[in-house]
Amino acid sequence: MSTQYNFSLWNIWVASTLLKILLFPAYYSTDFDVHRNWLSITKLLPLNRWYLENTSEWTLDYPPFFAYFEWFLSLFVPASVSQDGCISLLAKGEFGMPTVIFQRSTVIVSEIVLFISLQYFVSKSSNLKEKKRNFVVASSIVLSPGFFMVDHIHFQYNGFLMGILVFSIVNAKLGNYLQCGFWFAVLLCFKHIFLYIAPSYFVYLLSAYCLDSRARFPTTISDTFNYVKWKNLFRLASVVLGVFAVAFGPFIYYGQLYIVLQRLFPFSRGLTHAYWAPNIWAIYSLIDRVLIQVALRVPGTAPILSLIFKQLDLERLKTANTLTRGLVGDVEFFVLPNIQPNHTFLLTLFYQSLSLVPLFLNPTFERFIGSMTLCAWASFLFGWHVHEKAIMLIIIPFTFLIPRDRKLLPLYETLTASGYVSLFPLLFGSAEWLFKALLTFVWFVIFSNSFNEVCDFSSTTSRRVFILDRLNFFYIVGLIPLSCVIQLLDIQSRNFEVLQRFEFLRLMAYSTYCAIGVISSWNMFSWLYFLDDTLWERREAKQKAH
Amino acid sequence: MRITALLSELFIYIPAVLMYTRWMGRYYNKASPIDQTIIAAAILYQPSLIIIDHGHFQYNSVMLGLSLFAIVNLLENNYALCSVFFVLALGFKQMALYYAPIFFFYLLSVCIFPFSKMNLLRLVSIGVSVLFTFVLMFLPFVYKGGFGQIIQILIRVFPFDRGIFEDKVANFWCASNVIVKYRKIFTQDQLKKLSLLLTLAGIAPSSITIFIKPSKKLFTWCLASCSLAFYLFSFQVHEKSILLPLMPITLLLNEVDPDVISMVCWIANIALFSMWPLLKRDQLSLQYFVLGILSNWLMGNLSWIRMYLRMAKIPVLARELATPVLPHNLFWRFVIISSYTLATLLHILDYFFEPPKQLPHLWVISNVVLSFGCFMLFWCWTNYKIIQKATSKVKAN
Repeated sequence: MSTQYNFSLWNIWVASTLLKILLFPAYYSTDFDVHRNWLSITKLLPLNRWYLENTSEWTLDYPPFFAYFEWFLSLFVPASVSQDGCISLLAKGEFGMPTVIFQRSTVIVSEIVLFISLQYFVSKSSNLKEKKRNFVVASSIVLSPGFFMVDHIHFQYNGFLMGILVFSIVNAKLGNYLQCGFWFAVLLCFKHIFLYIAPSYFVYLLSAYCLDSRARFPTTISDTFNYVKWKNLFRLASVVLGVFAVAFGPFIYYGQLYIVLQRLFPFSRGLTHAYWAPNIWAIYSLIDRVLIQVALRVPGTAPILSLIFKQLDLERLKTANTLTRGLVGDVEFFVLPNIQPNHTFLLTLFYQSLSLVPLFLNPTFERFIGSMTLCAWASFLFGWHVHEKAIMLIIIPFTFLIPRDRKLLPLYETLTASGYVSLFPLLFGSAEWLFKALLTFVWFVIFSNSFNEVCDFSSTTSRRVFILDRLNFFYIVGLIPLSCVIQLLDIQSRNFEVLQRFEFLRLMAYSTYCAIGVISSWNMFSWLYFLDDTLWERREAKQKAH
Repeated sequence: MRITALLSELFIYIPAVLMYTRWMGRYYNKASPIDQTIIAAAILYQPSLIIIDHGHFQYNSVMLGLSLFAIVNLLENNYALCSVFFVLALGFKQMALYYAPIFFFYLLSVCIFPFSKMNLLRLVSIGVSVLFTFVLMFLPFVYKGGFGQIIQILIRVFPFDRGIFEDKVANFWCASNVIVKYRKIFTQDQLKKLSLLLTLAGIAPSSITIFIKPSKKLFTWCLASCSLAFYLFSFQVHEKSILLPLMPITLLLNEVDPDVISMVCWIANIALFSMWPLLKRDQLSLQYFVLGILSNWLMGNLSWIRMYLRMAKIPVLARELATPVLPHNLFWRFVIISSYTLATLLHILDYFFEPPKQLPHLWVISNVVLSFGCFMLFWCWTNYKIIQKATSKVKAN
């Protein structure tokens, strides 16, 4: 009886949904009020006022499809919930349990999209072995602690957005380029954070669908003309532009396009979020903080530092010398040079385009996912005002690659462990600590084992560096005492005044330690992406070689 | 505080359950290790206990775990150790008295039967260990405040002057109070005697059986019946006390008989249902529903939904229905289905309608009456099973 598997996510859905319902009374962040406010905006105001409304500070700053989505949800608000304060335009929402229950259930219901898309992914696998593998991938995504923490406790709607992304990825795998482009365009109109991975979509669709790979590389103008598959190009362009037209059309009609775009891309925010996402800038800020201390405490270093970096103003340094500084999210560096938005933009673009070159030359599905992961990674590491939640954007596409090769597994483990642990400060209450820690731990153990079982061994000689492997392991294990100690300090800070002053230090410990993991796994991944070509070949070609 | 409850469960209750199923698997039902683990998980995943210990907040699992250790030691013939553990359980929470008659009669009968070679040494060792543990437990109090302390403790622990029932409990007194107003007819003292009499009558079948026939197979059954009798007939019972009979009842899952399993699931659900008024007051209604559904789903009780889903072409498990949800007996089928229907009806009424003005506790009372009926029937069933098992063994011999 047990020999016949059926690879259905149904049981997982039932169990995890019941667990999510138990999370209803848990902590929710300001994002909850944000979404509640959007519900009210879309319910109470006409379309042309949506992006102008600013009674609350939580203005509508997602693209139009998300606004339509909120409007759609607002149709289902029962009378008892709207009386509870769910639908009201106030500076700060006043609501009770019915609103919480309603909004939390919308997250659960909308997440069904993710389950359907992954079930579709599993059902499209060609043989039993692949099906087994894809099932592990699918279940690891739906059970990801990231969704539990960000969607169901912190409150956001990432689940169904990722579902749309999965639809697009599966279609890319099946070679339905039009649908792949369509779903991604839809996704972009839901949440513009997916612009992080848009370059790889653009290059992949261009190279695989719109350019003739068999033709000679163009040298003359007529060659260039023949090189492009014009029919495909027009099809794709019309689909994508059509989606954008549906999304932005009404706002263009009202002449508000500029306002909408301004809402979507606020450059007035700081380089780092209040809590540093574990990226390059976390390390950079840490170095700055350390140098400030050095300049102040160690006599004689200040002139040397100002010689190397910039003119130091000791008076200003002293005022800056509080460890609590940074909670407000200011981005002024005192020793190291300041960072401008265009610096981060150039860095991101540089690393993204590096990953796009191999994809353009050899547009296979594996390369596509690889470059998508790298694009997300580059934006995460170097981007301006990155949220720690964006780590999901790296992890989810990456998961689709794991079964390709065992070599990817250790770095996936490092990435997920550090990435999910870096989400911990989102839920700072001690009530949620046990849940988030236990869930992440169990998820990690289960899926690192099951991936270990289903992954392919690479045919090339495996280059395992013993020391690095051990280091990796110790790094991951180190996360456990890190989170336990920080939580203990957190609890104790209620009793001891001294500890309260170091609250920011605790967050800093999280973000820098996790940054090490994210950056080093990025290095490993880039190494494999650029130097290990066999990993990215088309699967059929690989099978023929055997 | 919550973590202490978790840890106490982790270190006392869970190992005890595992040891119990291990023993059962080895000597009784011959279940494979995987099945043993599944049974243990089913016993541990008991929504009533989880919700009372971690939601309402009590340390029941400590007492239940200690009693379980006593049971395991008894099964392994370590009588002295068994009595030590049982006294510890008693010392942790006096509620363990619900189990006491069975332990007492079993140990006694093991010692004095057969008459020809009465095992006096065993009797003495059990007696000494019991006394020794008691003395050890009370020693700190005696040391601090003399013997008056002990009496004070006993008064605190057994508050007989609090009335026959406090809240609405699904036992005999509260349920029949609807018709007969006991407090008007009898005095407090008379009530005490009456309840004592009824309790003795209730525990008599199981105690006598275990005394005459000290068999390990019957032990859990007798525990279930005896503690349920205490719950139904004794003085001053709380809603939460249903956990005590529920523990041996869930242990009955080790009988790998599908009929027994479905009966146990049913009574576990009714027990959860009987605590609904308490949980509603504690604002645990969300947890009540979710845990209830989840445990039933895990037990496979909701597999009938699957059949309907398959009609709707949703990809679900293509497995055949593994366990029959209802027992084969038609009478029990009828009872179970009608009790579930009534319980659902009560929930719906409770949610949508205010109870009538002159009867403000109508929903709670009907909950009590319904659960009482179910418990009563279940108690009769356990007694029937005990007698059946006891006599069938004679035939086999």
